Amino acid sequence: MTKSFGTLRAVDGVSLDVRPGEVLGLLGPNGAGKTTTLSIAAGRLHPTSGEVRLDGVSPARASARARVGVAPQELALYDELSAYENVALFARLFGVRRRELRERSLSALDRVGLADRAKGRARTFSGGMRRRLNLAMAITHDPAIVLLDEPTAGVDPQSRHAIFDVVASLRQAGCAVVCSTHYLEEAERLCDRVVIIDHGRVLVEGQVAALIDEHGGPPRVHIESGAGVVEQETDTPMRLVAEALADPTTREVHVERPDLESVFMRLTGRRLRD
Amino acid sequence: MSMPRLAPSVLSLARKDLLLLWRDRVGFFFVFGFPLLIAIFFGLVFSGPGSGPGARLPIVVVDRDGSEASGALLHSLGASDSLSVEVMETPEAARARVRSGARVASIEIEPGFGSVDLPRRVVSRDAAPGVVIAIDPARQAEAGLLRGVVTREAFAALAPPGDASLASNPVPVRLERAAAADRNAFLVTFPQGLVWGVMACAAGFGVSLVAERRGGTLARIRSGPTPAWAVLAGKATACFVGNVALAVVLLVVGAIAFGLLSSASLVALVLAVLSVALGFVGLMMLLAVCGKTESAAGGVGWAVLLVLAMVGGAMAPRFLMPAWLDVVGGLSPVRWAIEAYEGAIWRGWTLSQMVWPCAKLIVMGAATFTLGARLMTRRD
Repeated sequence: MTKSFGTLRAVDGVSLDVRPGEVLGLLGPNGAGKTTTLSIAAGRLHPTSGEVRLDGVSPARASARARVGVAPQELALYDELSAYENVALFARLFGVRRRELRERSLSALDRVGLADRAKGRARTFSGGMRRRLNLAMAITHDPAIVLLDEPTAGVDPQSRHAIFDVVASLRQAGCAVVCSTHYLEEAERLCDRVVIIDHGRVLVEGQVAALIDEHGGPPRVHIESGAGVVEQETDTPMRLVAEALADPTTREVHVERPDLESVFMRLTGRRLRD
Repeated sequence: MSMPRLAPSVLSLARKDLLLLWRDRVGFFFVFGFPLLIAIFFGLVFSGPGSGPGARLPIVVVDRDGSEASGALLHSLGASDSLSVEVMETPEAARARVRSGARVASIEIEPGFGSVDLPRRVVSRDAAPGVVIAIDPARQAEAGLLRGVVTREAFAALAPPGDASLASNPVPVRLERAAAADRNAFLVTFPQGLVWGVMACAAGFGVSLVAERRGGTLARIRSGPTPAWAVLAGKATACFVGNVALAVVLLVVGAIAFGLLSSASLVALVLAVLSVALGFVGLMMLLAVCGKTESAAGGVGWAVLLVLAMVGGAMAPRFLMPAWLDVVGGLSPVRWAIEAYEGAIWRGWTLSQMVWPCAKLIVMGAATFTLGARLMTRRD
């Protein structure tokens, strides 16, 4: 699909698929087109060309959107409503029946660790709590597809781990999850597959390990010795380590294995994005 | 590290706020430009010639005396630059005309007016037959002017030509209210209060709609299965319920504490409450698309509503307005709303009389709601 805003092509021929029980990571620098892609997937934006199918149905249809849960990057909460009221409102809007409302809403709050703050106003919550409430509002109606836009942005480690647990439980329940993030270690940990996009285009797609093997480059050996500091990429790191250890002036040696960040930086470059 | 000096901090903060105000062009306009325009516009309007035909107070006169003097008074009232006179046969018909809002007051020349000459009036002033002015309670502001004109002309009708020997006017001119429920100022203030309330409600809900759009909750709701029309209908319903609840509370308090509804028609009142609520729900929707930020929408909303209130006669007496502005004011939903409430509460309007202002409110509400909803949907 493509999406243009005037002369700016925000999404340029992106093609993705995500299956039930799979977590797909959407990675890219700022302005790469992640949020636009998710907005199109959620039916909030119409693609300029191409199409989105949710179980074969266009998100333009309300029945398709009812099966999707969206946690937007910008927290969209009602500050003057309680956590329960926020969750219950969206549960009703997404079709949860009145008789199930209380149970489902409290269950969602429990999943994000906010059951004991159900009556608290969202306005009084910390950043992490608000982010978790944002997530709870997206999952109350047991969606088949969950779209998470930067779900852990600006939260403390405890909240981040709570969100990880929710994503893991969604996968276990057979939910298809698409998650955009800047945190690469988070993507490595959570995602079954990742897609790296930049300038609206898909650069690579695949399982994390495969991408690292293919695009991560060779390991980097870091040696500090009497000769100074040396950093060298090599396909035979153990040979360099052995040589360094044989040098009595060596003070430190370690090997950096390529990871997802290596892949990301190699593909998107070091130029700052605004 | 030393403590920062306070004065530069205060100045920096003030500069920041002024810069923010400057950057918010709509807000800036409503702080500086709009009051200037309002002051100049209404200054020009009210300082213009008020003596044209349009400035004449519409009154109805009943000559119950039929004497030469009463005929002279009737003639002089008709010739007055300040009055537009309609003659009727009975006080009841004249007062009904006033209650309907068609005339500001009825002037009733009492029987015996011409049979008591000025010298005898000096002795028994208050007991002597005179003139009764039955004023529309909603037009109290005009009462003083009217009383002055009638007193002068009544004196002239009884005095021999050129006789100005009496130091004080001996012709009694009594002022009454033409409404069925007399002497209750709340009959006038409550309809106006109700209209101010629905205006506040409309402005508040309009701003909340902008806040939801900016805060992302509206987009979030729209990402679900709820169609756009339902989202807007939800907001409209809340505004409608707020308007109706406001009316019910004010009317119940008014009824219990001030006997407001002693002569009200329940059916007409329900019609008025519902049509006013519907009309201002539509206006709310249109106001919500007038600004991109809460402050801009609030500024635009209140500016529009204040102008509607001013030209509609909810802020300045209508007799101060030049004729053309009074005509323009007839297009203001604020005037329609006040007419609907007054018609139901004390003017004793029939349903056929109520239909016109109520229909205008409902049509205006439907049109502004449709326009606002379309603009909002297109913007989103």
